[in-house]
Amino acid sequence: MKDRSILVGSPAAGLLAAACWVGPLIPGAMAPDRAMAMASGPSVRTGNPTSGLAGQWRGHLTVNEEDGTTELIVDLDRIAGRWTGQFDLPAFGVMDYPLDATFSGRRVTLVLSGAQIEFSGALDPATAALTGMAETRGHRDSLVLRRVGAPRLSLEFLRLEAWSGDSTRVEPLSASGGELRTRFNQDRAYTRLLMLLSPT
Amino acid sequence: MHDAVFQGIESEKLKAYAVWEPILRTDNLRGARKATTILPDDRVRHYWIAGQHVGEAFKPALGLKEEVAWDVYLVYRAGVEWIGSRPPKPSFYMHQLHELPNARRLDARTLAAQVRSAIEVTPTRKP
Repeated sequence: MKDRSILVGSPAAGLLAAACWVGPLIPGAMAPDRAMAMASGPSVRTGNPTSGLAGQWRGHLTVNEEDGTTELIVDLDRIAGRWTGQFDLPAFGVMDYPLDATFSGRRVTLVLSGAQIEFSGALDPATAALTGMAETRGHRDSLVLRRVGAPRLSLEFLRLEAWSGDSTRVEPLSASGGELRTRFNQDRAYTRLLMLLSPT
Repeated sequence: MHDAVFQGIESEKLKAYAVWEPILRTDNLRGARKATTILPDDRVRHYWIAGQHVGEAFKPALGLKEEVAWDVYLVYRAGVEWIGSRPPKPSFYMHQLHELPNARRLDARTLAAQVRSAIEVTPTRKP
């Protein structure tokens, strides 16, 4: 896999003037993805802070042995039937990056792709804490996130989440990609630009 | 890229395809739907493939041996057809991979110029 830092200058980055990048401070971290920077902006309170994972969670993430810890803020809520959220690393100027969350029983996994951080742990409802291990590019350390209030998700993030359920936006291809070939040939009278891209 | 190519080129002689494929662990159909918002142009059709089959299929057309084809931009002039399972070689391409020449690293203005050049040699369609 390529070094994600070269995503700077990609079509996404070209569109995202406001993009801040974790890269220089967290080695190897990727440029903000398309959804990330577009998802920043005004935020709103959502959900119920005492329901499941919903809430704003704060903790101190160990970046590496040399650089110590940095504050991590995670906002989680259940949107359109699934857990999702955003995260901030204020010391790095990172605000409102999207994350992937899974929650089963008490087990919680958070994937913060934009900073190459993965958290695996468990919810303790009694203490309102997520306790587990965070891995950042091979560096593993314990992490405790404590619920401090209701989640705040950006309006743009919520708009994108709504679009993610819109089945008309993307046409699924079969494994052979035959539909693409058919369309390509139907359009033979045109100049064609074909882009192979990763959503992140 | 969107600004340079799609806002900068108004021609209806251009069609574009964005094939979203899973490269990173968190890539999925929902993410692809969100990502369509970066290319909000009616000339772009968006596809999702739940594997790297298309990226693999395009490796020979780009001369890739190791990396799967992604973050690549291929320009085809009018008249080029895709016959069989192997995609045709593009008349021009740009990329953001390690394996391909630095001279072809994505530059939105260069890509737009090449697209414009390809359009200029496209014959006008007869009604």
